This record gives sequence, C-alpha cells and structure tokens, in this order.
Amino acid sequence: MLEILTLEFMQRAFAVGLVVALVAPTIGLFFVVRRYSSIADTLAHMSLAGVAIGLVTGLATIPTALVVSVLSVLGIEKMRERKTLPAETIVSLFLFGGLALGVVLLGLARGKNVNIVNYLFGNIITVTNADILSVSIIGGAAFMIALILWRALFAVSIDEDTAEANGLPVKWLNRLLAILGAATIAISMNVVGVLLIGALMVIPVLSAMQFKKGFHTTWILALCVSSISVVGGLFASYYYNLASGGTIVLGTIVCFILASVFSKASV
Amino acid sequence: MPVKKSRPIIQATNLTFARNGEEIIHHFSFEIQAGDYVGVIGPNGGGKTTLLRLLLGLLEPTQGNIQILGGSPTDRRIRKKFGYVAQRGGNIDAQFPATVEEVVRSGRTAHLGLFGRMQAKDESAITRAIDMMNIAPLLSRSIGKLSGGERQKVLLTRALVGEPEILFLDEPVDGLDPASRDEFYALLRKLNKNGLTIISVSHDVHTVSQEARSAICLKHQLVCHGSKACLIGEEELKDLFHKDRKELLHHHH
Repeated sequence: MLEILTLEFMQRAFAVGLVVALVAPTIGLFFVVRRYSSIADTLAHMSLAGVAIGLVTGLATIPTALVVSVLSVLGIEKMRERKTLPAETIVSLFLFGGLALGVVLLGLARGKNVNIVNYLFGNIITVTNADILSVSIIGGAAFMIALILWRALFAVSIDEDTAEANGLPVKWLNRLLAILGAATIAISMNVVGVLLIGALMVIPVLSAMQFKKGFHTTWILALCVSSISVVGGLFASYYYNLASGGTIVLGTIVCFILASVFSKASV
Repeated sequence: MPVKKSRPIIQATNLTFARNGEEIIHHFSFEIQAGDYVGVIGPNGGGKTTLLRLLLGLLEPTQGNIQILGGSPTDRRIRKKFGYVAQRGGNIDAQFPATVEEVVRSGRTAHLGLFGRMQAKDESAITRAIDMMNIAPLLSRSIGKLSGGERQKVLLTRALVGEPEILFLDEPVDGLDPASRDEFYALLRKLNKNGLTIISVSHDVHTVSQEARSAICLKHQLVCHGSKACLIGEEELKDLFHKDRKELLHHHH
C-alpha cells in the first residue's frame, strides 16, 4: 500500500476532499449554466466575513460562515428578484462588502493565535474527525437535495420564464440553490480555502462543457474532473510538499486544458 | 375537426398595467373562447408582450382582473395547463449543455411536482409530442447546435409535453427563414384544428390575417378585438403602425 494512504491525516484529507469533489461541481453546474458563477466567489467572501465574526466572537467558524453566507445569499436573491439592479452589480456589491467586513474583523482578531492563511487558501491536512462529520452531513444533505430537485432545477436553469409560466416555484428554487451554494462553500473552506472554492465549483463544470454533451453527461464528467483533481492534487501536495488547495485548483486547470484539446480533436 | 367556440376560457376585465408610473396597458376588457386561435397584434412597445405576460401570470395587473380556465393565472395549478414558447427560444444560451431530449422532457416537470417521478402516462405524453412534431431525429443533438427553426420546433414540443389547454407564443417565428416559418405555422394550424387554444403575439399583420381565427389589436389600449375583420380597417392600421394597410398586408419576408 502506498505510504500516503496509511497516514491518518491523509486518509481524513481524502475523505473530506472527495465529499467536496462531489458536492462542489454538482451545485456549481447550476450556477455555471445560468452564467451566474460569480455568485460562488461572492459567497466565499461572505464566508470569510463569517469566519472573521466567528473568530472575534468565539463562535464556531464553519457554522458562523454558513449562517452569514446564507443570509447574504438570501439578500442577493431578494435584490435580484426586484430587478432594479443588474445581477452582476448586486453580486459585486456583496463580494466587496464581504471582503471589507472580513478584513476589518480579521484585523480585530489579530493576536488570537489563529492561522488566517488556512481559511484563505485551505489546509486539508489539518482536517479533524469532527470536520469529516460536519462536511459529510452538510455536504451529503446539499448533494441529496440537489439530486431530489434535479429536474426542477434543470427546468429553471434552461429558462426561468417558461418554468414560472408552467407553475414551478422559481423564486423558492433559486433561493434554495443559493443556500446550497453557501453550504458548499462553508464545507470547502478547509479543502481549498475561501479564495479558491469558486474554482472548484466552476472549473470542473467548464472542463466538462468543452465536450458539448447533455446535462447529465456534463455533470458526470465534471464529477470526474473534480475527483481526479482532488486526488491528484493531494498526491502532488504530499510528495512535492505543495500547498494542497492551490495544487487541487491547478489540477482542475490542467483538466480544463486537456478537455479543450481533446474535445476539439474529437470533433 | 374544427372545435366549436363554446365557452370563454379567458376573461380580462378592466385590465391596466403600469410600470414606473407609465401605463403600458390601459383599461381594457376582452374574452377568448376555447379552441380559438388569437393573434395579438400591435406595434413594438404597444403592450403585446406585457399582455401575454399578464395572461401567463408572470406579471400582476395594476388594476383589473384576469380569469383563466376558471381561476387566476398566478395559481400554479392553473399554470400547469399552459404551454409557452418564448420569443427567440427564451434566449437559451447556445453553450447550454443539454440534449434536445433533456429539454423536451423538462416540459413535463411542472406536472410531476418537485418530488414526483415519471410515470407511464408522462412517458406517453412525451412520446406523443415527439411523434406529433416529428423531432425524433433531433433528440440526441445538443440544443445549442440547432438551427432557429429546429429550436422553435423543439420548444413547441416541450410546451406540448405538458398537454396544455392553452398555448401561448411570443413572436414564435421571429428570426426564422420563410420555409421554417411556413412549417411552424402549419404545425400551429394542426394543433388548433385538434382543439388547442392558441394565443400568439406578433407584429406581423400579414401573418395574423392569414393564420389566426381572431385578433386582439392593441396599442396600450384595445384598438379592436374579435374577428380578423378588425384588421381590415384602413384608419386603425395606419394609426397603429404608421403604415398603409396595403403595405402591411402584402408584407413578404
């Protein structure tokens, strides 16, 4: 057996990494096809503000980040429904607001012996058994909800107006999807960090879309890309002593380049 | 077999819709009978699409009331009986990763509810619509790779998969070549002949005068409603479009 697989901390890293590899592109797919992938970055920055609130107040950071990003996303959806501002403007407003709040609060948290870098860039090898449990519960729930509502989320993603005209509860589905996005980001902080989680939700999907297949096939391909990137990234980070989050995301970029080349060659 | 016009399925009373203080639709009433094929016509910006969106329940009237199929258009149970084909394919992204089959099957989603699973009756509704529209050869293709005409045909099939009682269309042939237009209108004639009520928004007087059974002519206010005869009035058309009737009715594409 490979040495890496006998180490407990690496086993925990693979467990958490693979849960995130399944959940992130599943939720990210619905954002990408609606050209709404910037929401992932915004939610990540709001999560950073949540982490900072947790550090300053002494609350648990991941649940606090989850609550803050869920509240933010509901605010974003409410403003988007009003249609008084373009969606990308609203998303930018929250992104910079979250980042600014995070920076200010993290300044206050200085001296509390916390490693901010782990939240920013992830450090999957510091994952604990408690992390595995919370990531599995939250991630598993998000994954199952997406699968159960798959058909409705797909119909809304193709064309909101037609879905609404046919009686689907479009507003509620949009809000739910945004909450699932917030949950995905909260569980991914240890794996790739808030600055890179958007990449794990978006790049595997973009790689899969290069093959111009159906929705279901695109999803399966995206899961393959994210799983290969997480496993490959963890191997590379262990053997070459690289930062795990960045290595995983670089893995997705390599997959994207390969997908672009092979999809053109197969046409 | 032509359907007898027996009962009103849409009744709009004193309908008004304003946005940002500007009245887009001003205080009008009309009825539409079951089995009718209504062309909603008027100049750009005259309120045609707004009227369609009010009937679909996508907008709520500022004043007045709409009764459709015995209920409100905002009632989700009523909306399940609507078929809708949006202008230019609802602007579905050309990069959207979906096959024609996936798009067509999505037309059944509202019937299943959020947690429902496809039953035999759902599968047979899908098969019937695909056969009727003759799109089986397109099923495995990507929606983004279809021509404009093929795409509209697919979206019409998606609307029919829900077995609608009323089919709403917003400028359905906009951007299509003449052959695709003719084919699309032939399909609509066939559906209407089978009893489906059709409400189609268009800015093309020529087509409405040829294809529809009746017309709603509007420019913020109801200019005329009823038989296509209302499209013949020289002054009304000139007032509506600032063009001569001859020019409008002999407009070829």
